[in-house]
Amino acid sequence: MSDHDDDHHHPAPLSPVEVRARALEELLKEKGLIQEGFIDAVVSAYENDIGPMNGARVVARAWVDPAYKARLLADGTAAIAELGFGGPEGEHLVVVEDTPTVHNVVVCTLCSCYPWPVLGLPPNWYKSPPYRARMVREPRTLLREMGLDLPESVEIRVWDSSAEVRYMVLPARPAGTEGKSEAELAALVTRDAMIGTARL
Amino acid sequence: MNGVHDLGGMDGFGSVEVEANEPVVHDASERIVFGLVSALSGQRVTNVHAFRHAIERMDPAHYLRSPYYEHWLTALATLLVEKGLVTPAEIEARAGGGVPLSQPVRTDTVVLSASSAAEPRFAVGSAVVVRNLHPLGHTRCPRYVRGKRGVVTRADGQFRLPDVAAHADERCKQHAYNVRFAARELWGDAADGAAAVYVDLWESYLEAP
Amino acid sequence: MSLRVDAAVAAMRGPEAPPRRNGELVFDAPWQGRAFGMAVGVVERLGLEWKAFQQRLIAEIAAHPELPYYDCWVAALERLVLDYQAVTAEEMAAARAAVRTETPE
Repeated sequence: MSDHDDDHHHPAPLSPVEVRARALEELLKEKGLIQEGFIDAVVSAYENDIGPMNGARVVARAWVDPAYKARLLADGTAAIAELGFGGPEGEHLVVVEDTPTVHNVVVCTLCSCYPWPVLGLPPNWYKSPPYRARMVREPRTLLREMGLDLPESVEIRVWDSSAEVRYMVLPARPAGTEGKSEAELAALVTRDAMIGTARL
Repeated sequence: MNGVHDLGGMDGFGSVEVEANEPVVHDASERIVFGLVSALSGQRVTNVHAFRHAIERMDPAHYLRSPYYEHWLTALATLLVEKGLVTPAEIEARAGGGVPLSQPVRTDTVVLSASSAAEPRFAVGSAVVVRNLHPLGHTRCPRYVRGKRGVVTRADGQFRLPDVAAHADERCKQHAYNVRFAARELWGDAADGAAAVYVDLWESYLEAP
Repeated sequence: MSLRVDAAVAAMRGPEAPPRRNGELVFDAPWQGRAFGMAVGVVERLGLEWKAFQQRLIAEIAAHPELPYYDCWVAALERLVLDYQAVTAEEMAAARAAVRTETPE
């Protein structure tokens, strides 16, 4: 029984398209067409600065830091400001927490109010008549249609953003994520979970 | 107003269509319109309340069949015309065709007693009933909670009352509250017994039971 | 990156739009994110409009609808840099050979 393979770190074989992508990158760098760090900056900007990633960072911070979570639930606006988030449609933010027996979901029946600083711009479905009409009336049915099946033992709380307060859901931390870093946790959080149409 | 925009609880709309790969911004015109609204608000030509009411005043069929950003476009065009800044003919000439505007405002009178008491009338835990008010102008009290009983869960401080702000320069602030309504209170005994709807309501929308 | 390119990327729709979940870009592997960043960088560096890349992407997807999205993206990028003579076909082949000898296939 030979275990010599365990002594060597074999890099995983590259797929043909990955070979081509790497070759391109090397070539473009050699020719000065892309600069070191530029690609990382672009990817980072698209992945991290666009809307829902802000909320994901807030959620991850709340998961790892109980004191931050308490502040977040007491005063959402001040707590997200600690992470540098705020601005229009976020001046009065209330964060509502999911538990094993309570599920929260957010809607604006009258128009399309949405917590921009943490979630970016609302998706079309959030602004659509079926969502706005039905979520306050038959939340369990509509959530099931949208892919989230909640038993009757879970209370559903629908938040209608009818005034100046904007809402964000703090989803429950998924099981089996102990030991993950804050960045890894943030990567697990989806926009739909922070609206309440999905669980993680 | 009891407009078609006040959609909470309406039936017949079918399923929620979720676009796979929905782009972040659907149209450059969305950004443009938003920028224009912000600019006009900054110059006090309009405010968000009058803007929302201009959307609410759209012809109901137009409202329901148009994409969301067209609501903004219609409201913008309507307000510009109503403020005398452009004429309908000028808009249509630029747009190369008909640009339907919203219906006129039905009233400039403020129906509610728009008092601005410094102290909140209700406390967390107060039982309240939503008043059976049906203003012809702008309001942020959804139809589906009028006449219904709920419990105050938060007192959020004072905010400008939209029912006044959409129609007058008068700065009227009132306390606003979050009120929890049991689903069965709203939709009858056949409704989900384990669901509740939380709505943010201004003080003049509420009274003691 | 410039606002112009940023807006153009965000406005992409239909089959040539980058995959998103919940509004966020989805990369199944790091090389895809890098290919994304490379396209943005090259377009800007060469002073092109985003549609120079976008049209080639649309053509690749139409010619190879069975291929994964970012495979078409890489092909479109190769097409772009060759068409604008930023690299030659020989240089491309040599670079690929070099990558292959560094890593097993």
